[in-house]
Amino acid sequence: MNFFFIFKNLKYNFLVKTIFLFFLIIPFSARSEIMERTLDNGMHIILKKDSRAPVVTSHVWYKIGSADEFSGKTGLSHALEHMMFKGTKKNPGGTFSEIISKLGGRENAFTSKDYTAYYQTLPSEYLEDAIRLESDRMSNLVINKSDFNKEIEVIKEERRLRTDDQPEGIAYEQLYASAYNNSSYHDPIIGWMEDLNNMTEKDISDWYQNWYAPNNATAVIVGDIDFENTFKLLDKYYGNKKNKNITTRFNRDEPFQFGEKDISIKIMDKPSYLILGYKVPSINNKKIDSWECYALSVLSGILSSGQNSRLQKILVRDKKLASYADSGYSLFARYDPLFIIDVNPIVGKKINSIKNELDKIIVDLQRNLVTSKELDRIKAQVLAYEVYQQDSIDYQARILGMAKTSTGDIKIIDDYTANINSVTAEQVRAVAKKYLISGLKTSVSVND
Amino acid sequence: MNNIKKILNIIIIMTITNITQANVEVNYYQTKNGVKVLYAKSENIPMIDIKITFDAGSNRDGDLKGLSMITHNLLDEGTTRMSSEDIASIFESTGAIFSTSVNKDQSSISLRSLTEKKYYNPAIKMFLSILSDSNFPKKEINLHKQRTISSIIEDKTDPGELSINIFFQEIYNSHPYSSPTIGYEKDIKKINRKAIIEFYKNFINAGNASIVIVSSLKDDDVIKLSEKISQSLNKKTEINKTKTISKEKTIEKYVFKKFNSHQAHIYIGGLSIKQGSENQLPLYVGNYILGGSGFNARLMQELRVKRGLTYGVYSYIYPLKELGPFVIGIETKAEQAQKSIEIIKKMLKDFLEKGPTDKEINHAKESIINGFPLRINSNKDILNYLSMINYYNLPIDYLNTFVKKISSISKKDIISALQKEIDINKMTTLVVGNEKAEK
Repeated sequence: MNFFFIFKNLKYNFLVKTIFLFFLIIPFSARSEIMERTLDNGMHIILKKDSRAPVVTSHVWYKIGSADEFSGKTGLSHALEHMMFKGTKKNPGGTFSEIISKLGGRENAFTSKDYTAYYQTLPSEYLEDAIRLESDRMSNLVINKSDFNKEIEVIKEERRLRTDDQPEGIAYEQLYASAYNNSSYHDPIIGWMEDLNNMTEKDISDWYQNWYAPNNATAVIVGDIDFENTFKLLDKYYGNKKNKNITTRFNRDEPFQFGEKDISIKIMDKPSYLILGYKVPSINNKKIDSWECYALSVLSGILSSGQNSRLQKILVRDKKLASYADSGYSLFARYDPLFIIDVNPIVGKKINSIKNELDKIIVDLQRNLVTSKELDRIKAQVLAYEVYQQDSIDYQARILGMAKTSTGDIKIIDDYTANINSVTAEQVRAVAKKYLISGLKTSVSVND
Repeated sequence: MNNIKKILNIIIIMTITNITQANVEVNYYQTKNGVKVLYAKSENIPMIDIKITFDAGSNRDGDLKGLSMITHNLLDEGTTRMSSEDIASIFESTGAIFSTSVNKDQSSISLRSLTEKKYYNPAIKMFLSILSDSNFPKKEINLHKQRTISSIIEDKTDPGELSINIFFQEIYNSHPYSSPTIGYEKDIKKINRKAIIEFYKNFINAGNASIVIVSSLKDDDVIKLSEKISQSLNKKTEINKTKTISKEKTIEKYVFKKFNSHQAHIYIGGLSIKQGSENQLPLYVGNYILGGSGFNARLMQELRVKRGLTYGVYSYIYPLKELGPFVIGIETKAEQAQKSIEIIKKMLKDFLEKGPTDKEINHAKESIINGFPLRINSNKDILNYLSMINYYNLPIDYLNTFVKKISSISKKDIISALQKEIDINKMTTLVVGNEKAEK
């Protein structure tokens, strides 16, 4: 329960042969099945029908994430997400979880740099219970000291598990902290341990009061539902909530990077690992043409989706330097993200030789056009995943919530496939040249 | 099509209340060469999922631990006519996803594809030729051996991987279940093309297979496809029975493995039941209450919610063809390791003696029964359920009777199952962590 959601292609053991195109493939869907409305108090509603089974998933997304935090107070959004399971006056302690469980439901929450979201998936006849409970904790959460003191220890254990005992977790955290000087993507979602040590229940309570309100939230419901009835339910439970003055989220623009940053860290008794990032625009960057973002998505696919992708083919199969290699780019990020490449060397292989090969791969993409075969491969995969993703209501809700929360408009999903399809080889080369600049990258090597 | 007579049709009715009802129609079919097929129709999405399951898990590795997994990983690395690159090109350019998986008992080969002919035809053709025409090029074998060894070495540096591997070695000793599916470095080094081909012919074949299909295809087309798949498979061979396990010899053990990490990884558990045991469902409900239902389970409430000792604590029972394990797992900072073990053992003892309360039982039963539609709400879920039914020879109406059986389980059933199948005096306790975690 309460996991945080990192925009990174989590390492897949190469022995699991399923290929996940996490960033690239964000497909979809006949618009006609979707209803979008806004309540008078400013809360957004997105409903999508999928009647294959008598099941529904009910999400609430808040426009608040670790990127809204500031120095010394990192980890607040995630800690608040944990505290949201501590109950209200009407539904104290674990009542919420108990009811959802009794109804046969699953529930969880996740926090990213850009947003915090809560969800319940349950038989559709119990949708009202989920809405009732979620709406209650939007405004009536009880945050007390004794609960907080225990929960902060749980969060520290979570940090030890996912970051402090994981060399890849440490490297990922160091990459962002090193690449960004001013941008709020500098800090980890879970927060620095030192800040967790200093955090108080008052910090959490203030954070909750500042950001949790209907006008800062989007409800996304996907499943076996009737639009009008569901809308009425949402209006019944959220409609009477007052909106709040929400502080404007502002972008701490990242200053120019003066040169390559090359960080080397040592972690005892662990294998070596390389992760590097280039600063690139997201779809929210108004200074660039949006095709650049789609071209970056395709570029990431060319590098790492499938066995014939460049990283796989060269680093893993031909040169036999890596057991695993991946790239990732989050088009949907609120602020300008990193275009990431990460590599697990074969035990005994040197990180330097991997860096050299990576440079050659990037230079080739900057000089030469990718083949039409490579482009067709990406496009076929986008098309297929557009169909496959209809098999999961949770995934459908997640995409809708992310698009709305990060970009303000779900239309981006409808246009996604067409936009990917129109990317040309010249455009891929152009973004490789413009953004994958060797002298402006940040690398973190573990045990090189 | 005269084979149509062999089709047995059953409808899984998800009737929870009068309001909620959905049907999944499941059909049973046996191919001419005797392969069992279960298939379900899902007309809304133009896609197909195929999963062929074999009695070919790491249990069948023999002396070369890791042989099953490396053989499965090499299936799409070359056929007599096509290279690894060609095969990948076909799957990638059709958007199809080919995958294999291996666990202790079984292995599977799966394909997910669009059903539009332009994509479906080449993907299926490729899939079929992998089933009997894989030829395991030496070059690719060497690559996979190198990568597998690298992964095995890396796993030893990860406290989670390391601890679960040690735990299985401790509870299964010399039984094949003791080794990780990925294998051991010394055995991977010895694996050669001959051993791989032998495994392929002996275990990945028609006599050892069952097929599950969930798709938007018509019955006739599914039957034709099933015949093609079963004809494409290697020919049936005689295979030995798997090795049995006895609880008699197990003893109580405490094992400490020093490891440089902030958290200690702790496992407590032992042998429990086989798949199909009469105690399976009562134990399922019992474990659900103890540590199998996430946030609401006893262990999570006590160790996380009340005491803030951990991010996660859980228990599971994993029935296998032979006796599967009962496991409680927790991660906590080293200083808290012994205290956590003490609490867990006390809770377990109390649970085995007194069983769950009536309130807990009612809650668990309601939760499981109400949650039934969530277990089969996607093609992937249905595929995996049918595959389990097919592989373990569970009754074809298993899903239909599941709800009924759960609702008839009594407190007495649970307590007697717990006491019969879980012996607190024969538990292994493993701690992997730094010196502060030691006793």
